[in-house]
Order: sequence, then C-alpha cells, then structure tokens
Amino acid sequence: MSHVPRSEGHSGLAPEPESYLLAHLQEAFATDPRVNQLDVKVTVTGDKAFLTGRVATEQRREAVAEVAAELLPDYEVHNQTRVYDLSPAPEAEPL
Amino acid sequence: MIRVAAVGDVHVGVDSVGSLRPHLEHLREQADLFLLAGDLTKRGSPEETEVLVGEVGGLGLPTFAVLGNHDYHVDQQDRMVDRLESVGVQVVEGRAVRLDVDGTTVGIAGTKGFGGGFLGGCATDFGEPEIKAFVSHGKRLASRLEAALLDVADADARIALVHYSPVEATLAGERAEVYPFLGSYLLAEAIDHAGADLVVHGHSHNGTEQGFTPGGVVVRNVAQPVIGHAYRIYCLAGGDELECAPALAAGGA
Repeated sequence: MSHVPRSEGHSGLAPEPESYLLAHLQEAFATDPRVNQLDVKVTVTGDKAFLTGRVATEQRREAVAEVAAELLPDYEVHNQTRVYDLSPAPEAEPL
Repeated sequence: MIRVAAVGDVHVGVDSVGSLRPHLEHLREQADLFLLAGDLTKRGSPEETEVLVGEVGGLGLPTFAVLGNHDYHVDQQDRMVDRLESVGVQVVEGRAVRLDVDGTTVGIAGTKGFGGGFLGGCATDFGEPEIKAFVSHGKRLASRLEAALLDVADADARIALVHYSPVEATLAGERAEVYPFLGSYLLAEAIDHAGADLVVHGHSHNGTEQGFTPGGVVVRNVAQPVIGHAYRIYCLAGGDELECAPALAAGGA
C-alpha cells in the first residue's frame, strides 16, 4: 500500500492539484511491490483516469488498476494496459 | 554466422512462473547464445530470483546476463548473481567472456551501465556530492565496459551487453526529459573506443529497437515491450537473410 495525499486536499483548504496526484500515482507504480513498473501511463479526462502501457503478467495488470483506484478514489479508473505477447519473434535480423 | 538471441526487461515476478520458459525451450536450436539485458526481475527479491532461475536456467545454450536497476531494488543483487551463475547463466558485469561458436571466437563484455544523458543534456561531475556520485557511477561502469571489450579485442566478433542505453536513437518514443535516466553517451564512447560489432541493451520500454553509436556500431534495444516478443535473434559475421531464416524455422516454435 502506498500513502499519498488524497484529493480531498493536503491542507484541508483546497483540493490537491491533479498534477500532484498523478505524480504520486506514478511514484506508487514504481515503488508499490504489487507493480514496480515505471512506465504505466495515466491520462485524466474529467473524472476518468485511463491507464495505458504494457505489463508482464495478468496479475500485474490487475494490480495497476488496484493501485490507481486506491490513489484516485474520486476518478473512474479505466485499465487499458495490456500484457506482453511472449511468442518468439517471427524472423531473425542479419546484421 | 553467429546467431544471437536477446531480450531484456522480462521483469519476472512471483506471478511469472512458467511464463517465459515454454517460449525458450527450443532456443538452443535457433541461436548460438542468449543474452539477457537486465531488469530480469520486478524488484530483485530472493523469491523472484528463484522464479527467474527456473525460467532461464539450463536452457542448453550459452547464456549471459547483466542486471538492471529493478534487480537492485531490495539490495539482493549479489544473491541473484550467485543463483544465476549456479544454473549456468554467466553474469558479465564489468568483465568479458570468450565463446567458441564453430571455430569463430565471440567476445561478450557487459555492464549494467547507468544514466547521465547525452550531448546537450548531460549531468556533469560537478557540484553536490550526490550529483558527483551519480555521474561517477556511470563513468566507472563505462570505463569497466571499455576495459572488458579490450580484454577480448582479439575475438572474431564482439558484443557489448548493457542495460542502460548508449545512444539516443533507441530511446525514440520516450519523453526527452527522461533521457538522462535512460542512458549515457559514456557507454557509446567506451564502445566506440574499444570496438564492438553489436550492442544490446534494454531499460527503455517505450523506445525503438534499432540504432547506431556515433562510431557506427549497431545498437539494438531488446526491452521486451519494445521487441514485442519473447526474444529477438540477430545474425552476426556474414549471415544473410537466407541463412538467418532457417535458423528460426528449425526451432519450430
């Protein structure tokens, strides 16, 4: 579990600016042991948060959404991340 | 012809049991050697290391690795190196090994490497001790790579295996602001000074597969999200498309 300021406001006087929330979420993706990934992209439109990028396993794909939901409770999280295709490459490259 | 299979950033976790291994079972029929370009695990824990050795150990072909930044996160990297070596994966951090492939000598030199940036956007060895430590770490590892490549200067073909990128070209697709965290020109400079035929790296998930050093050495970013497959195969030393293609077909995978 990661602990970051919530959108209700860090001081109680004003809502947490969206950019800080997203920066904290990126930090959580890197450090949360369920995810540990630095390149999941978050795009916010209105009250929707879209998660995109590729992850190694289905379990990690679900974890990305869990962490995002915990840190962005006021947003509707849409998990559009995909799991890598691990099939061998179809051709070799001569160098 | 030397067939080099390579992948990086496999990010094995405890949830990865059996995810890679089925795709690697025929690799010994398709390639002469296998390179793992760092970020082998999600966070470098002993539990993940045990999954990793089960996925990449004992594949029946010479296998070489460097670690990546993820593999250092919980400070168990030495244990990971020991376990990889115990299942036949040679970790080439700051050193080189020679391999004979049907009478052709291949030298493989490696290092994790580090960030620092590229021309016009570099950290410099100046100011606070924290910045100097950051820059000097990259310099030290680049210097070791150059020495390792020179150790195998007499090989017929030489490969540099790194995690961080030596060039900007294979970072295309990443935000330019993060380039200093993704690689360093110092690696390319070391490679160009010592000479090599191929550089394989990972680390940049949103980058581009193909690039070259300023000195003209071929660079390939084999981060799994970039290549989009379990591995890529490159043919060195005289291979052409006709020779390379059957190499893959033979595996039947």
